[in-house]
Amino acid sequence: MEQIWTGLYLIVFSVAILILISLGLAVIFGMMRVINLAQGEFIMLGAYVCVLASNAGLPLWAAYVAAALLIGLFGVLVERLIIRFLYGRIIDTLLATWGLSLFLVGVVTTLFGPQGRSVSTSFGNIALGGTNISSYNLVLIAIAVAMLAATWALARFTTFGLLVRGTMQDPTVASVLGVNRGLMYMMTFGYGSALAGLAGAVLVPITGAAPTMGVFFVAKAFITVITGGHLPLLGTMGAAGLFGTIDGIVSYVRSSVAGEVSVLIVAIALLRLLPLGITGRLRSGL
Amino acid sequence: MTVNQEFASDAAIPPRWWWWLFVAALAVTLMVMPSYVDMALQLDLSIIFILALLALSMSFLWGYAGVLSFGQTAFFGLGGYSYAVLSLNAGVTHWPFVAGILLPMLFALVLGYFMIYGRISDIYLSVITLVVTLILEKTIRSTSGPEYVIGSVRLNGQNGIPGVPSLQLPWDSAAQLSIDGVFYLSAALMLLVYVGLRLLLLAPFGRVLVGIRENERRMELLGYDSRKFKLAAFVLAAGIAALAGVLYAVWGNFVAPEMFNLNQAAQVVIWVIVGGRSTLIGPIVGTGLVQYFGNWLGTQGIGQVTLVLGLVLMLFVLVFREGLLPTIGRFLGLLGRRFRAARPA
Amino acid sequence: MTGRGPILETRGLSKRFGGVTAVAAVDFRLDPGELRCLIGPNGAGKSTFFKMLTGQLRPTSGAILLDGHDIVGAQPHEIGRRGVGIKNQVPDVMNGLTVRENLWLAAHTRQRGIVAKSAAGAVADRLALGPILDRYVGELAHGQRQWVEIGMVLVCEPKIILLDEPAAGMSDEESDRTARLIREVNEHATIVVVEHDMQFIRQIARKVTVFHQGRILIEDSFDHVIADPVVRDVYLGRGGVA
Repeated sequence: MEQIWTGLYLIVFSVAILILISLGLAVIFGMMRVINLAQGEFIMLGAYVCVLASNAGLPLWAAYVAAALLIGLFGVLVERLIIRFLYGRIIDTLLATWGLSLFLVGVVTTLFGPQGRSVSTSFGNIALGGTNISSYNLVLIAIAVAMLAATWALARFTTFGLLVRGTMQDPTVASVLGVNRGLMYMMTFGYGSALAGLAGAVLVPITGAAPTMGVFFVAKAFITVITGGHLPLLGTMGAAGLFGTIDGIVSYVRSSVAGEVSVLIVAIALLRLLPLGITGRLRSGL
Repeated sequence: MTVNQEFASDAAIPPRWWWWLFVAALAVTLMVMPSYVDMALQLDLSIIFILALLALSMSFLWGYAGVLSFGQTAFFGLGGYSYAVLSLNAGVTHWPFVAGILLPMLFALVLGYFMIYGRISDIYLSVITLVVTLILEKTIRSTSGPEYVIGSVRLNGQNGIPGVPSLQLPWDSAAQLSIDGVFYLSAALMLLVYVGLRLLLLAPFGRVLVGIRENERRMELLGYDSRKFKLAAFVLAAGIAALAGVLYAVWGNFVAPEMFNLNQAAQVVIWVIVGGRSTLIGPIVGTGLVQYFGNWLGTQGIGQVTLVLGLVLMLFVLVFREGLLPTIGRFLGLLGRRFRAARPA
Repeated sequence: MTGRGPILETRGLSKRFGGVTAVAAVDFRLDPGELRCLIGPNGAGKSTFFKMLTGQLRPTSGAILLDGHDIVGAQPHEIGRRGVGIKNQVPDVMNGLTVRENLWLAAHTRQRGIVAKSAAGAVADRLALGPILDRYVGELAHGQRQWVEIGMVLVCEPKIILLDEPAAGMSDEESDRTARLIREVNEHATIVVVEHDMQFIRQIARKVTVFHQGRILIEDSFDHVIADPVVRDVYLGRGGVA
């Protein structure tokens, strides 16, 4: 019985982590069809902001907010300076964002050195079904759910969300109706970056912050987003649910590397059957 | 016929006499070099030839077939590791050399089949090859424990496998390839692959590939199974990358997870882009340039290398889209036209 | 016509995209050697119909019989090999390659070596593409690119040729040449032409099929179709037929 609780918890935790690291990329990809290979580095930067803010004395929640805001702004900058010139050139965007990711890793390594840093938290352990788990993990799960809910609410209930959805459905019609497409893209990219920054901050107490941490997340995030298909929320939930479950179970039984390999194999097989991803054929939805 | 088009990967035109002259001159220079050049430089140049092979594999796949694969370093690593494990187990090197090329090609066949016959979009294919490379590296790095053994060879995780034997000479299995020998072998293979790929453009297979790159749908409507051709190109490119990997193992007597590294993959892409991805000679030149530049920078520290690599990549994507050689070629062409126009009729 | 049965037949062919029905239960029949014209207002489903015939789109339901074999689900290149050639609406050629190379690639599907080269040359001569053989297709004028595509289709010697707006963007003189070419080619192949230009259709049409809202409205000789009041209504947008 206890095994089941532990198992469930592991799965939910895996899914939550996937959602955290993928949602930002999914929003950007779903809206703009941009594959941002620097997304992992946005997460990394968020982690560093959190570490620096924490060391400066800010409480953890404030560090989260700082990370989200700062990285969101950074995202807007990146969109204006780089992405904007490469719309329609998918492969070039891929390469340029890859260059950006290398650049950011290089800058952070130069400024802060290659070793990792961490932040200690005051969250103790609690007992769940016979094993002790850090209650911080539960906070992480809660934040992942909050991210999903907030994004959904934003899309559903705000004017901005409506404009974004319209531009997603049909950019030409939207722009004819007066929507400033450039502004939409800029804000969306900023929002996606902010999500990544927040994810990094939230992950720091668990994984620490190191210049190359982004690389670990990029693989998982991309698999999730691509398999999810073009609808950011439904796709991410679907793919994260599937892969979180597989990864959670296999990692527990064998090792985390085995978990990743299984996810990759399942993803490739799934894409063979559904080349456009899980939500590829859906016409409407988020 | 401009310099550009001569080296470009869409000329179904036999190379001109001066190209053959160029190749011959290059071959002669390389043959003679070891007598005039010291060991250290030979080693440096050998690794450039080997990495140039890796770059050629990518530019072939990308320039001819239009497939951007970040997975070339995966096959590079698999080639090196296959050779290492097999030769250390078997005690001989001739068939491990061949197996080191064939095994990664088999892997490419399976992976490529799923991706290409699944008709996933180009961008997804690129990302998946990237992810495969990342995951392979992680997997190899995690094999530190003593239980990770193939035959009698420990995979050794982070530390890599040392003591990989150099190639035994076919006519005297007690003797091994010297530094000179490695130089000749890598130079010869690089040249052979370069010439081979250039001539492949004349063969129906090459011409069809280029047609598919230009307009896949139209080629299908004409009756070509584009999936078959793309898969063949994917496997061939994997073979060339694997050959480079095996040579790398022979050159350094050592294989390590760094071979799969994303930075390594980035460098390959950068060589190709800097040199010019629609040309074949470009990647070779690009490799040389970036290697020397990187080595020089390497003395400053890892951070700086990655930083500059990233900057270079962004610069070349945003500004110098076609790469150095085509840009120079175009510039020279412009100059030439200006010069001709200025002359009295 | 020999009693061979139709060369192309569709039974209940439909294509739905989400909520939109582009083609609805079409029963179409084409006899060998016919020169059929497909007309209808924009959005009537003609291009979608063509795309299903070449395997580029998979029908939602129904059957497509090519010489009696159901080709639904077949890959586009298989259908191409079975002898269906299509010239698309927007010139669909290899822009970065020369005219010569485009033609050779087309010829190479049927012939090898020297024979392919001479077949490509023959088609170039027939269509007067000689002077532009070494030009890059991307640099040619629209009308010339149409001709290159037609050349590519012809050199494959298909049994059925689908032409999607072959006269689009052509001058009167070029249209006349195209019409004449179509009649010539009809001696060896069955042809289906989608067009809007009524003058052009008049020059080539025998039987005309009118598409409307994904269905076949009427199928008759050109003169009857042009005189039909329902057809006129449809073209002028005065409501459709249930």
